[in-house]
Amino acid sequence: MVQHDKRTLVADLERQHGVRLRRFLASRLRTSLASDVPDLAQEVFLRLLRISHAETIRSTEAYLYTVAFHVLHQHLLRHSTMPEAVEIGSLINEMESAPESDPALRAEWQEQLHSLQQALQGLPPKAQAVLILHRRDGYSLQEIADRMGMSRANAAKYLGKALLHCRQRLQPNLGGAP
Amino acid sequence: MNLQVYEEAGDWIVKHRDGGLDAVERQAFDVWLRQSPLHVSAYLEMSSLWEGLAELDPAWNPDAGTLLARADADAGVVPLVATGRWSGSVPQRGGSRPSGQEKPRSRWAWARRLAGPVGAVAACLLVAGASLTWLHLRPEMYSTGVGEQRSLVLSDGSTVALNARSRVQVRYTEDQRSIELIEGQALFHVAKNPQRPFVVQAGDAQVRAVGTAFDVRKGGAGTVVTVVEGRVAVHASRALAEALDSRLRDEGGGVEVSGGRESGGAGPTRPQPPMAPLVPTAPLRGQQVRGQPGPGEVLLDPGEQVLVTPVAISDPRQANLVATLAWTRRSLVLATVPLPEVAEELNRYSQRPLVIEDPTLANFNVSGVFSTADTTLLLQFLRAQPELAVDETPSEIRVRRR
Repeated sequence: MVQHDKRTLVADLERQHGVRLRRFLASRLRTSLASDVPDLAQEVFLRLLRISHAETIRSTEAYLYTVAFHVLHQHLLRHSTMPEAVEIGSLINEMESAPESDPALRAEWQEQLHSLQQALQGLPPKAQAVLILHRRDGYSLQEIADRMGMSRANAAKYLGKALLHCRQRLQPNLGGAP
Repeated sequence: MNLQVYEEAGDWIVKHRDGGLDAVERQAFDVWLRQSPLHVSAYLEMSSLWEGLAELDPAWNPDAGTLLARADADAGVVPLVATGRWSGSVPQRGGSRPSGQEKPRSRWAWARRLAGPVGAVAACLLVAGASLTWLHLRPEMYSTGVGEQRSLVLSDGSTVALNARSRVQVRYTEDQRSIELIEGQALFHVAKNPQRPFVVQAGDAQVRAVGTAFDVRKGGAGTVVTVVEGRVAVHASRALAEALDSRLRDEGGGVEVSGGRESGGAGPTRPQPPMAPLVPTAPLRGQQVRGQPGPGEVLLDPGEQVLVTPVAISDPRQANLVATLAWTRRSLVLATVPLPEVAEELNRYSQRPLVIEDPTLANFNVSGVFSTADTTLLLQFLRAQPELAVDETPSEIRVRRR
């Protein structure tokens, strides 16, 4: 029953408050990054392990996002003793009063998108085409594969590699490299 | 952090977004994610990257044709294993970097933070906040520009033909195929699957089908649903149902309506909450619904059409299928269509909008067959009408009474 309520709440949250949620999180994010928040991935991982395999297996990804959302929210609001279901409800209330937009956050987001764009430009042509046609233009991998004369599996590989490339380009100093 | 982990995370993202996982893959993903916090972190980070890619300004990159031409011209084989070509700064396998050791702030500030998993989660939520999906498919958006038509094949085999200036959002879950027609017009051919209804939301109409073909047009005058084959149920949106419901109560029509509800198992004395459920589907036949101006649904047979406005659902009427589907053959079949509606249609295909200045022109009807690929013919037709004056400016075409 608790699980059911949680599901309903998360679904409602996503359906009705998507944009508000994003803005709300964007504004909260700055403060959470300024202070050192404990290791969230570790916490998400541990919580995932507490949910039975049998329960998560049908939609593991959804559990991952939901748990991550809960963990971040708890850290952000420092309400770590509140039960999860109540938390989401209270978040909705807070979002209702969140400011509609913040020019500074928007400007920062634009800068970040420019960095991502630079990473995209460094892609080899085929990988670039697959990634942009899929993510920007909404073509399915099958459509792209047909047009480019490759198998769908290969198109998927190009897509995965393009993602990895972007990630590496955005992390130039990772791994101790100068 | 291990490069291979990111590679695996990227592959899982692609699998999830491209039609989802089968039972074996779902199990494998669950196992993979539970192996290490690094997997959790990498997956969230790659997920945030994926979302960010969709938010880039479309104009920043070349159009599809140019991208494809470049890809075709590129004879070189792109290595499909992670090598230096993909990044000059590939970290050592197993190499890790303590979180908290941040580099100076840069433009991709949050992404840098992703070296520490804190950022991974935070960034994922920042970017993917709008797509905090419950079932693992995030909604996909498809749109067309002026004069552009497009055909989509969805993961279940259903197809959507999108008319010009139209936009749909596709959201598939395990038990429902949901599509929202945000603007414009689309023709749906639905792959049969009784276990997973196909539901199209458009304006105040909700169209539910199992396996069929139907056209939905969302326009200024309301949403028109036309069935080509099979049978569909058209529901009022919740807001419209409430409005109809309260209007019926005000008009004292409650007896008839509560009778309808009884058939769905709700007692007549049940207090009516503001979110009263619609009349259930099963016990109703199309004939029974007809002429009953109440909340609920209308069942449409092939060749029938219904108009849903913010205040009412019309009775089903025989549709002119040739005219309704003419757009799929890039033509516009007008049979006594008021000029403002003609303008609405024409403006899907023309960069310069047609503006009807005179409200009395709502009574001016147009009939004829026109090509949507060349809208000048329709303009010539309008200019030839003695009652009309057509003024062209670089940005629009104004029509008024002479």
